[in-house]
Amino acid sequence: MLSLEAIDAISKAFSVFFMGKNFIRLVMGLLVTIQIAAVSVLLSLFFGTLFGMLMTVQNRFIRAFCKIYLEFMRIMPQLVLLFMAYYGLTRTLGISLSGEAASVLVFTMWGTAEMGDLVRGALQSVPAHQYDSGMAIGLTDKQIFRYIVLPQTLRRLVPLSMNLVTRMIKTTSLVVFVGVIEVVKIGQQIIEGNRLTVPTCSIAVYAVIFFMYFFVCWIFSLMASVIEKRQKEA
Amino acid sequence: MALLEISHLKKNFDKNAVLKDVSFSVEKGEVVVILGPSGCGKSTLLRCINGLESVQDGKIILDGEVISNRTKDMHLIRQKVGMVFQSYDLFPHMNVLDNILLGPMKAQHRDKKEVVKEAEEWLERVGLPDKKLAYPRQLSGGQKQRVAIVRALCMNPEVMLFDEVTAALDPEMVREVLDVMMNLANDGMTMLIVTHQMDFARAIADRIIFMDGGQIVEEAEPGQFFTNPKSERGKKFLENFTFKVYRK
Amino acid sequence: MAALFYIDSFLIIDYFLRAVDFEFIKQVIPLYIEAAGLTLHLALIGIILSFAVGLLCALIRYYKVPVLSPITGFYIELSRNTPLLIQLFFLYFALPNLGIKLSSFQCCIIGLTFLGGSYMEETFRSALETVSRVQIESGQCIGLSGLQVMRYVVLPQAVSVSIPGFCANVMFLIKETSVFSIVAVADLMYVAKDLIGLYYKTDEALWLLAVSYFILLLPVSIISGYAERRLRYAQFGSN
Repeated sequence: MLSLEAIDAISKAFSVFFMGKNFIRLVMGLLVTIQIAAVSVLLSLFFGTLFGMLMTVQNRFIRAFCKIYLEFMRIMPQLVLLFMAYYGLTRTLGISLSGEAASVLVFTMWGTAEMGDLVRGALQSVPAHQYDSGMAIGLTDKQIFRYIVLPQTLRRLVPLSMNLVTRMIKTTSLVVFVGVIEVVKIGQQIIEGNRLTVPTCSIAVYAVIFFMYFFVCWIFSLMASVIEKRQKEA
Repeated sequence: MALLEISHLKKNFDKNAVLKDVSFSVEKGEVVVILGPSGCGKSTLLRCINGLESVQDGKIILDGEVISNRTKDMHLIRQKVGMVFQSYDLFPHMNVLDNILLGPMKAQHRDKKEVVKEAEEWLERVGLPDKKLAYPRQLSGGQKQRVAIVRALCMNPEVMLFDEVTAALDPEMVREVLDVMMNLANDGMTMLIVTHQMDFARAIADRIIFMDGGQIVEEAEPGQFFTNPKSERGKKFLENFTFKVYRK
Repeated sequence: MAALFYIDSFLIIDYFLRAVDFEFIKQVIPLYIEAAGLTLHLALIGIILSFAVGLLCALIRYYKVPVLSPITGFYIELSRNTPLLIQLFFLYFALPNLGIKLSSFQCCIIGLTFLGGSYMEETFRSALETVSRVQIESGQCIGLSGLQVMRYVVLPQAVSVSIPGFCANVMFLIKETSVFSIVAVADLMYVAKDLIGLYYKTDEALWLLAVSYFILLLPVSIISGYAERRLRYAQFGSN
């Protein structure tokens, strides 16, 4: 399938990265994506923990509200949410958000829901007899949470939230839809700029972007599976 | 000639020798109980006889046919060897009758009517005539094990292997399973039993094989083994089952 | 506080009624229905192909087939760690340089299958692995061949375990179709973007967009919730 000409074309296409600052620019673009993902992840971890604890309270109304929020965030594609924040908020409420701000807002709201569900699952996975044996040795509720529930919950959460990071980075690729100058946008600029000199360079640019995403996400996936394996052995 | 003959069987897991040169034979209709401490290789021995484990050296001969390390037609050999495990291993998505019918119909391609009749007779004999359509989750542990035994029997095996079938049962359910096995022995079934129930072993066995460290240490009549074991290790092992410490 | 909230929500409803152009909505609803049909159509093909690819890969990895198993593993890592959007960019804008010209539809279906295959694989393989060794061995003990053990013992149990995960994947894949507009497929997002661009009917376009996805996905979500509850119940009941 790959003729000699095609191979020639590919090698020529990659030469675009040795021109000017093209490669550096692409990396900087990726950093924009990662920044948005990182801020969203940190906020999601914080709010998600609170949300997850809220989901385990006894009050029925609070639980119902949480459930509806979670379902809504799960049903709506993130891109739809992103459009609603970027275009909708501006019009309806007169709040003008930059693409970056809209992205962080949406990804945080989504991440909070997902993280919250993970936290809820982890909290509820601590078996009842753990609480019983905590009480049996005379611990207070606070001490039971601090010394028995929290460590077991965290242990469970670490690999799961690593996976959430991977998902968040993948989702962040959507920000190109709301006009953020990130890795794909810069890639397109490079392709445009070299249309005459290296007409086939899109293959190289998109391949590099593909593998950039892959490596960043893969590192987190790998960490998650290593931690999981180690936890299983211990 | 013996029905089942094991000669110079060797089995390693990685570099650990689990079975070191094990030889014995079982006559048709004989009941042999294998005793020994945990990790002595007795369960592995049963698994080798049923082809669930490959062996490194030696032979297993059933009815004049070498059955060890067959790869292609192992599933045909297994039809002649019934086995019941420690964990209740019924298929949870099938009712009792379907569990029993699966092997005879799919592996042996026998007539359904005939097998159903046989299955019903067996269920009657093990005291579960009304559980035909029950699902495993609706049965107690003892009932599940009795069904597992019937499932193996309906294949019309030449020899039955029992791997600690009562070890995971609640104490009050042990008896019903052992009774079934006892009846089977009285019917003349050839049986190879691994158990920790010493009284039962003594009552059912024609012969005791005592294993330790992957080897057969002692082979004896049950009366002799339990009253006066020849080997030092056999003596030590039996002491575990008699409680000789008293409060001062 | 409560009163304030009351007035507030009243104002929003009032604003909504006055600002939303119902005539416009009536006009564009057929566009949305058509687009939703297209979204569903592409999603369905993608899901069916993902199912096939996922099952095949799951069996390859479950049986640890030499050569094929590591290749499958590599594919799964690649698919799970890259966004569909980037996969589509590559298929649609980069491959033509190698002389491989795919239509937008082909790109979407290949992309969705490439993505969905690995998610389905994960679901199916972990479902296969929940069937314990002793189950397989007792299947072997009653003389079943390897194929029969798979057919009568492992698969029936794995199927019921995999249903909630499968539903979640279906929902995920339908959601993922929202990026298809990037390769000029006239799906829901595309229509909404068009209406915003052409008529500045942002509110209407976005509301209809959200409602459309809601109608598409709510049934799947309800089914998957139901399946999960049923499975949990069934597991409590079994040995």
